[in-house]
Amino acid sequence: MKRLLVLLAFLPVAAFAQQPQAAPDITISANGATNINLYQGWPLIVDVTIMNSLRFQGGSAPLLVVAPASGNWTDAIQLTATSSSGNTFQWPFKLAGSPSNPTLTLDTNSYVTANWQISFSDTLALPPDTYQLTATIQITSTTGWSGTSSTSPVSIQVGPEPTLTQDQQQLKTLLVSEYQTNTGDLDGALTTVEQYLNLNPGDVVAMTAAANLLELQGYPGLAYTEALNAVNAFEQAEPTPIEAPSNLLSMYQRLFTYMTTPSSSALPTDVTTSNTQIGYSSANQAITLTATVTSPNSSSSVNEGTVTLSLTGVGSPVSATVLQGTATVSYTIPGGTVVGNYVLQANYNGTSNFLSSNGTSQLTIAATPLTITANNVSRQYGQPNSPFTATYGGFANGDTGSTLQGTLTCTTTATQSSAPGSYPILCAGLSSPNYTIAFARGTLTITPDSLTVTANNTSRQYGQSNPPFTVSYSGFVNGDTASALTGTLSCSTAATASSPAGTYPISCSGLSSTNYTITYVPGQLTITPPPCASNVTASLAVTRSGFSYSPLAKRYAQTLTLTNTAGSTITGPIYVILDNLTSSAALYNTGGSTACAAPTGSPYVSIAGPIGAGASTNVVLQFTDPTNAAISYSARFLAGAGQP
Amino acid sequence: MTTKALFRMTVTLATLLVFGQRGAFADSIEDVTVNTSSLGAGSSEVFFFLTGTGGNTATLSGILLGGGSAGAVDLTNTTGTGTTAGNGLTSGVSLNDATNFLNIFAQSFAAGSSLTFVLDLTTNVVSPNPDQFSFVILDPNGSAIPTSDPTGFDNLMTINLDSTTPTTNIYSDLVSVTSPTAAPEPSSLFLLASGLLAFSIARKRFRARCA
Repeated sequence: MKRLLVLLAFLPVAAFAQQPQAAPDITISANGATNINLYQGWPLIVDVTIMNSLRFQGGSAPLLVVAPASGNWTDAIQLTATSSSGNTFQWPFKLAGSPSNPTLTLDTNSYVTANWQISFSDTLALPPDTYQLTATIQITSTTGWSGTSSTSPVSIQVGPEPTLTQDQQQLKTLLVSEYQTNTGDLDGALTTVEQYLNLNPGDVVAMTAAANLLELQGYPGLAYTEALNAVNAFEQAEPTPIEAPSNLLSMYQRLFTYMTTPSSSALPTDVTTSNTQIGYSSANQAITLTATVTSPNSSSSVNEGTVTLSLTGVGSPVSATVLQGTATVSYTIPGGTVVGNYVLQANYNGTSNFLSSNGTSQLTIAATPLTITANNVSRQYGQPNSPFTATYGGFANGDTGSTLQGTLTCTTTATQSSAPGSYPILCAGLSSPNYTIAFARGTLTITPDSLTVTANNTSRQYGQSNPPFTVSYSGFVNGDTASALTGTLSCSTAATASSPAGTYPISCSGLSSTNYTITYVPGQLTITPPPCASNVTASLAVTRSGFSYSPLAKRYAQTLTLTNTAGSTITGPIYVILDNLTSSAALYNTGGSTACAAPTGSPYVSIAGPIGAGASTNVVLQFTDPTNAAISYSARFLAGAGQP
Repeated sequence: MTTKALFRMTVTLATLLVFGQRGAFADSIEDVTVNTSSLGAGSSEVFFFLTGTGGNTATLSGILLGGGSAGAVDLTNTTGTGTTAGNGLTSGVSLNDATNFLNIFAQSFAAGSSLTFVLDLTTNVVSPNPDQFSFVILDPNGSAIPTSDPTGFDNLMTINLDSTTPTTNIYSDLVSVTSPTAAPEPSSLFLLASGLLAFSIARKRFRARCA
């Protein structure tokens, strides 16, 4: 970047003296000014300008010859910063621009500018203070001027970086990019500016800087585009039509002229495009199209100009600047573009160095694979097949099954009567020019049906044997019956003939089938209480003996003589029941307690019987009674089938 | 009072004295003999039982051991009301069930040829469970002499006091029972004589008046 020189402000007093020998006049600026605020970590760019002190005398004035003794300008020029407290900082001269020659010869119209690039880290190391910056040239030479000359000081206020305003951010960006440019890092400088533009799009100053950097990097096409964008941005940002800054306009005009006016030495070009094949599914998506611009008469790559790429009849043309012989665009194939071959057209617009040309190739949009997979389904044995469905994999451009031609038909070999197992589902019937359709088979899984075998409830009287158990079937399909089952049905219960009255589960098992999953539901056997034996008390005359006592057994005994007073035989068994037996006594030879005929809970003795009409029989009762209290009871008699 | 009336009264009184003596024979009296010769040497034991609630009394008197000798009273098994500690086999045994349901007198003895006693039972009848007298003899081994007692308790004899003339049940051939002949008591004879005397006087007066 070039800077304006302020010469008149630094006219040396010596210029008015009558001195035959020219001496150097030197001036400096810091970041382009003579009194600046420098934030720590910002670059400090110091420009030093060396001029002929006799430059005002016109063309006859003597030349100024400055030649460092060792030919090393680093030793000849010193840059010193002195703080308010007297601390000094010096930076060695780094020759980043002119002069490049060890000997400097300046006439009255000439001057040279050199600069110091004080790095970010150097300024960060400067304590906050006010510094006086001075440059000194000191030459000891036999071939030219010898002596010492210093600049007027430049005031620098160093402080920490505050929160930056946008203007300060812009200034910092420009300083950093200038620092990078001066230190030869053009890519870094461009990156710095582009990063700023990403955050502040439309910043004309930054866009101008970017165009300048692109031009410096040898990209006139890009520089032209950036300059054009900067001009447009300026005009859009201004409420009233005014001209863009002169430096921007001049750069734009220069680049425009360069781009549109082939020189007499402009070289021919060839444009080739990639022969591309893309899938139908790439439509409506961004694809990359490239064009290669080469000059058959030059070994150097084409690094300027613009290529416009278009697909015949598809989409809109897209332009791109040629970089290193290649123009690359992101091109979106419109949705719905069908499968087929399309012409890819590339037009190179040419520059002052390269003539325009064009080229074509064929872009093929190929059918995209589409997989139609029959969906897996499952059903139970005996059920009809449900309509099969399929899943589509690979649709593009918003297509659905309805965009395909034909009718989808999915079939299987399984019928309603097919046994449980796996059966393939095959689909077919659809087609499309845009898709290569593959039909994938699904699986129909037939699972066993549920069959419930329920033991039928049944009942019997106490004392009887269990009846044959039966079952009921629920769930047969396809006209199946129990004969379709294998195995032997077996039903059982824990109840036996002697089991007391109550309910008992009936459990079944033993059947199997590949077509059914059998579930057994238990039934219930109800054992009903037996009928009570008949009361024959009125038919029996009873004679009781007294109570005998056994000192050995410690028991009492009493003999009852039962006489059948009825006119018919009393059939056995005959139960002699002792109701209301003395509480302290117990019937020793008891056969149990009454549970059927009330009152219940009375002990009894049973005899086989029968007792014929008019006949008698004896029954011996034995008692225990630890208290030896009087034993009493009421006799009751039951007889015949049934329980006491 | 006329002579005729006096005659009638005298006849009635005499009739009552003659025929009313039946009430004086309400007890059941048995002469009981048990052949104990098979018991052998050693200490046997006899148990007399009276059970029931009828308030009856069993009196055993004239007990003879047939050459045997009485042993000690079995105080462990003897219970109830009646002879409890005395040497019953010598002095007699009395049991009464007026208070206790179970009444036992038990005493050991060295068996002789027989055991005899006179059993006098009152005959208060209660229903439906009559009182009962019974007895059992244990041999020197402590085992009861086996009998045909249907209860299995090996009673040698039982008497159920279910009537004023109860039946004696004998369950062993070793037992013999005889019932003594009923004889008028002394007071009854006096009344009979007085009645006959009065009748004779009345008859003489009647004849004298008629003469």
